[in-house]
Amino acid sequence: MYSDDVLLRVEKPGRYVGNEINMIVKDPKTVQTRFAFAFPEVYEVGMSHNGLQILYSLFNTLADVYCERVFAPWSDMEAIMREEGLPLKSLETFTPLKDFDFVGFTLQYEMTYTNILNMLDLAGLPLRSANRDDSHPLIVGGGPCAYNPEPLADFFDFFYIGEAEELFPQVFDIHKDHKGTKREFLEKIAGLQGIYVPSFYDVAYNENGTIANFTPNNPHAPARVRKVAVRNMDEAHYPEKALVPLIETVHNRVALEVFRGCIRGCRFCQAGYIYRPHRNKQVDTLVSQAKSLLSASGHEEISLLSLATNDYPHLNELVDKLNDCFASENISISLPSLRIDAANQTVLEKVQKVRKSSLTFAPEGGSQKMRDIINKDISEEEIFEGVCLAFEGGWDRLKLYFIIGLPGEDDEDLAAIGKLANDIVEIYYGLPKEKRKRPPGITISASCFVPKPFTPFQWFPQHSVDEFSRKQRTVKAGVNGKRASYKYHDSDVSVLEGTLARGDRRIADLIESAWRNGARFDGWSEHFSWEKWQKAFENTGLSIDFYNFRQREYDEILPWDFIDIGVPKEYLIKENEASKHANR
Amino acid sequence: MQTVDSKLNYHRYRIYFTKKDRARFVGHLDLQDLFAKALKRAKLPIAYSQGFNPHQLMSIALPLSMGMTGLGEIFEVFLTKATNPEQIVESLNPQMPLGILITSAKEVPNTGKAAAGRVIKAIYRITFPNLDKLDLNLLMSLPEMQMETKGKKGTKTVDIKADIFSIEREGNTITATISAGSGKNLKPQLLAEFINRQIDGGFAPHKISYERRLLILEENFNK
Repeated sequence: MYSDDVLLRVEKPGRYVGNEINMIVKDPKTVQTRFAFAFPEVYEVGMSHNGLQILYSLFNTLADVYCERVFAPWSDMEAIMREEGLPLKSLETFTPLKDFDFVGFTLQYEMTYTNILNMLDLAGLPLRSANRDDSHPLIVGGGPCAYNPEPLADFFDFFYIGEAEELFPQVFDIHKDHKGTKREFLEKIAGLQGIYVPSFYDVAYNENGTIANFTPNNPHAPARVRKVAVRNMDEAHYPEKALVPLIETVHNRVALEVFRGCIRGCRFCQAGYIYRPHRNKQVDTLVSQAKSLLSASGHEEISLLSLATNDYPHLNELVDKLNDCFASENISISLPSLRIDAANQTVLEKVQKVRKSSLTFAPEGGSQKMRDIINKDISEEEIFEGVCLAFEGGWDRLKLYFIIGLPGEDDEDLAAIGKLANDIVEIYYGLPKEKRKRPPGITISASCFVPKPFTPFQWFPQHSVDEFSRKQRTVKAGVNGKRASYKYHDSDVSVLEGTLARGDRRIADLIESAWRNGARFDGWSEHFSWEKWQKAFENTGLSIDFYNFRQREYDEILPWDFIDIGVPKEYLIKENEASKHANR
Repeated sequence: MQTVDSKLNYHRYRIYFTKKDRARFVGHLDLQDLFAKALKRAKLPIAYSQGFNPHQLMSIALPLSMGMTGLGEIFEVFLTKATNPEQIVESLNPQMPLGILITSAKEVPNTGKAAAGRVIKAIYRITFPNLDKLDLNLLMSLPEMQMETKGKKGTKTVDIKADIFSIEREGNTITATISAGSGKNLKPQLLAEFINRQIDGGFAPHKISYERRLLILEENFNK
């Protein structure tokens, strides 16, 4: 453990001492493989992530493996660590990261990339794989951002593309019996489905900066890397006991994943494409998972997780069964993502028996035209019906989520956001007076569109900061401030996210330069500094116009084209073309 | 909030515990949450408050500051059924993280103030990097022991002498019984700072370690 001398000088020392309920304790001497699950975010955020719970539990069911955790130290801790030369250590056994066999980073968000470099550096590890040798741990990355691993390619030894439950145990099996060099190990795993070893591939560029070719340089490396997906969600590993933190974290509840994938095909949504196919769990599986998770945690809330829980075909039955089992124990059910329509009004009643908190609703597009372009399959009538039912049911706080900066968007579409909010307020005042306790609380939130790999909009030029600012003002002008409040964020973070999301291998220099300029926790507005990144662009000579503000052509080789997510590029093209002809 | 009447149907237990090592970094609100979840996992018949947002009827006496060790800490809980105190200890201990040990439990009357409101004194052991220069007799013969404290209404000067009931020294460690609780309360850090100044120690606050040995309660249940 870090000494009291250190811990008593930082905010929330509980971030650095582990000791959670259900923390796995093993004797490291008894295992063959030591894996550090590295979350490049602060403890409270990382500990609220369900993927961590699943993999921590799964890896530790393997007798030969000990999976421990490490999170990004907050800036106060980093300062002390650097001042006193303290290495980054795991929370379970306080083992320095450099003594692990693997350090596995979960890649959830582009704006955590500088934290990855910071953690490697605090661990005393060279940042680039080319500068590490056989004495250093293998650095592996996985998660949604691994679907375009190229911006991080130089820092990692290998990536895992897809869902780690399915095949990662095989990587450990190979590691257990492996006697040779790191390179030989990478050659052994390079043929496994889902494994990508960046050093086994060469990239050549055209004069205009685009990719000329991307070819394996090692006979063990396949030309295309196919993602791995869990086949049967009922049989896939799910924790019986989840870690329960001893300090307050973002979420304080049992997370029950009801399905993976999504039945919708929203064209902006990367998750909707990379997590295909849609795979349900059975109600009985869920009830039994809920039972063990509740009794092993002491939580009083179950959250039904998925990309769109309303689409679960047995939602009514599930909620009834969970209520039957647990309502007498003061346990409530919550739905984090919600789609308002008549069908789930009864579910809403059952879910929020006690508290009528606010409802979140995401039309995404203000006009029908925009909803058609993005393939958000909901009409204005359906929105109004849903809102009406919510109001009649007593929910008078609504949060409406929109995206601005989408392909084909005109100023009328932006004005439609304010009009929609206004119409919703009108519906409220159309209710009989006794049903209206107070003025309705309507909050509009508009996020800036970030084109992502493996979506039909992956070729689209993202808006500049100036264009986003202009559009935010246009939306604002259309919102009647007395009836709805309008929230938006600075778009510079989104523009950077877009650059990193669609970057190639050369972007590694940009990330490293930004980190050297002091960039950390870029997803936190209190930490984000556009100047540090601006300087990094200047230092590296990389052009944001090239990476983010340019229309890509269909025949261009995209940095992530070598990954096969199971959806052909032709389908993405077809969907993109379809969006151009949608209701215009 | 719970009415006194319905509490009369419940049983109140006073539970003693230690808080050491890694568990020292669990703050007060987080400790409440930790106990609430532990009671639930132990399947003890916890009583809940009535109302809009029911919570477990439980309280911790005099929160310990972050980083301090506690050897005689107390929390109290209402259970809906009479439960053998030994069984409470046995069922709670497996639910505790490293550093927290339930040492004993007893049933106490379910009326009157909770232990949290009964604390009058506490015994602390305070260890300094070096106390060679300390003359304890000289210190205690001072007519007054003035210290400045910062509160919501600004800085004020207090005499802490009356809050020290006994004080002993062994090497670099001071053992002191001082006033504590919702009435008069002397923070051990203030005493440490006073000593630090008297000996020109110049020790940074995080170099001084604290161990609370015991909470002393006023045991008049008619209150």
